[in-house]
Amino acid sequence: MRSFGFFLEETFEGIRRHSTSSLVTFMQAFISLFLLGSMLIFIIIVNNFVSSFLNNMEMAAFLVDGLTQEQVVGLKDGILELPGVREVTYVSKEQAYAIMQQRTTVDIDDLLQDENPFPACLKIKVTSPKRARELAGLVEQLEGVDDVRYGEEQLATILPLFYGIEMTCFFLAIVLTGVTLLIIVNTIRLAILAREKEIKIMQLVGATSGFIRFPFLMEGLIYGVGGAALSLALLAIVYKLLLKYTTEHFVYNPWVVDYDLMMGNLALILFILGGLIGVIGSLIAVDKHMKKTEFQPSIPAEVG
Amino acid sequence: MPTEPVVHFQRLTLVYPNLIRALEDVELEIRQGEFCFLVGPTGCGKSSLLRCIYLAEYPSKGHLRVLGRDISSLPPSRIPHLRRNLGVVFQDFQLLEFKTVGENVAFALQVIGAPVEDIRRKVPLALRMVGLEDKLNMRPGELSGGEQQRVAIARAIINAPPILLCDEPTGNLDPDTSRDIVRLLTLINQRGTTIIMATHDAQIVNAFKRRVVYMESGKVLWDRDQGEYKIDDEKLRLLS
Repeated sequence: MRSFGFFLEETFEGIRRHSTSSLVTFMQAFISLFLLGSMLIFIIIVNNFVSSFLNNMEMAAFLVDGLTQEQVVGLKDGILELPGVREVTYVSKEQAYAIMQQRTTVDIDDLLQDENPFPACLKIKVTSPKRARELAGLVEQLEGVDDVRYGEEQLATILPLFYGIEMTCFFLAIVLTGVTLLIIVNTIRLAILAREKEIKIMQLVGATSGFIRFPFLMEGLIYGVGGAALSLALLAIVYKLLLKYTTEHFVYNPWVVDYDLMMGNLALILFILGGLIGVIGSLIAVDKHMKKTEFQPSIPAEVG
Repeated sequence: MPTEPVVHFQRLTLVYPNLIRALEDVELEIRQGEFCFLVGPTGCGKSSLLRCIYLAEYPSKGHLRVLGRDISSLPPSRIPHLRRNLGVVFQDFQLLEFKTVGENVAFALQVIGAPVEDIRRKVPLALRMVGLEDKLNMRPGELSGGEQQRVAIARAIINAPPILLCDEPTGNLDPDTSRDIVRLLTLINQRGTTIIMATHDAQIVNAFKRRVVYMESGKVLWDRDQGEYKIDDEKLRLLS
């Protein structure tokens, strides 16, 4: 604990003394994390859009005519127990007829002459559309189920597209994180070069590697978290403006994610990522440097 | 009664990764409380020998015991603990220009996690020992070369190491200042610290009449108590 004050002093002294390289590192962290944050906003929006679409996806299990109430309840319970089922709602023949009446402009009473050809059905909400085909197969085998429909063609087109976008964004976020890490490692390495003598003297007087590393790790943490805070502030302004513009100009905004929710998620991700990148970046940079100083023994050549 | 050897080279050979043989089969014992000059021409292995003691180099062959412990294959994680028992002084002082004299000296204790009270007590004592108690708040750039070397010595002895290694400590200083520095080292030696000093300054060596170990091409050629180092002998030897 007594060393903590010394670490803090050394960290801020180091930042102050090498203010130019510190500012460059901080700006690099900020720009990289801002780009990463923008990408994350896009990923969250796409994810929200996909989720809202998929959450509304329903599967319809059409029932054979003449089932008793007990049979329908039994079927409903049976389906609810299947994996991937979130909710099951019964729609009777009469309700199906009424729905059709509402949906069409044609007078179906006249057209069907009081006959009701619409089957009763169970509307099934699924947890994962990926398993819809498998689930449909299981439901179809149940006694009392005539046919199952779940918008196979729509799903076959839309799902791969959404997952493709999601995977691309995820991949880009990983690449951007890697690039950010590389940039921070290199800028911190430059900053460390200016402090070579300090590291050498620390090694000479018997400071442990952990002790030498610690002020640099704190410095990296400050760059990472500071960069994350600044980029978060800027992203908050940008997102607020975006929300204001879209709600003013468009009636239907299915992609919109609540401002607080978005910023909460973003803050969590950016602070953790910024902190980790800063610390790992510093660790890589200082370790590489420590191995190269003239007081660090190298492996000697073998002699006969 | 002979004292314990604090440094013991046992047929030690050092070959650098670029295959330069810096030390060849060195056999040398330095006892507690001794003041030993390491002399010889440039590149003879004086600095390499000192670097082995503070483990800036691992020996390629043979053994080296420091303070009773074989350090030839000491794991890197234990090196800091070895160095806390050694003080090292260089020709170029190795001071941090942005820190004051007091801060430079305190740095050696801070980085090993010494308590603040200890640091506050020991820094003025070390500076008094080297005669710089009134320069506590000055920066190295404001001091003369001799004074800077005294700061480096104060930093090296603040942790009261049993061994002080000096690598050409007078190399950058004029003859009078050089004598002052060696006088200071003698004083430190009288308090029980073993001193091993690499130098090629024959005047200093001959003036202080201490043990002299002469090296050439990585080998110890002769080792004499109160020996004299004749530069002409060395030149003749080099020519031959």
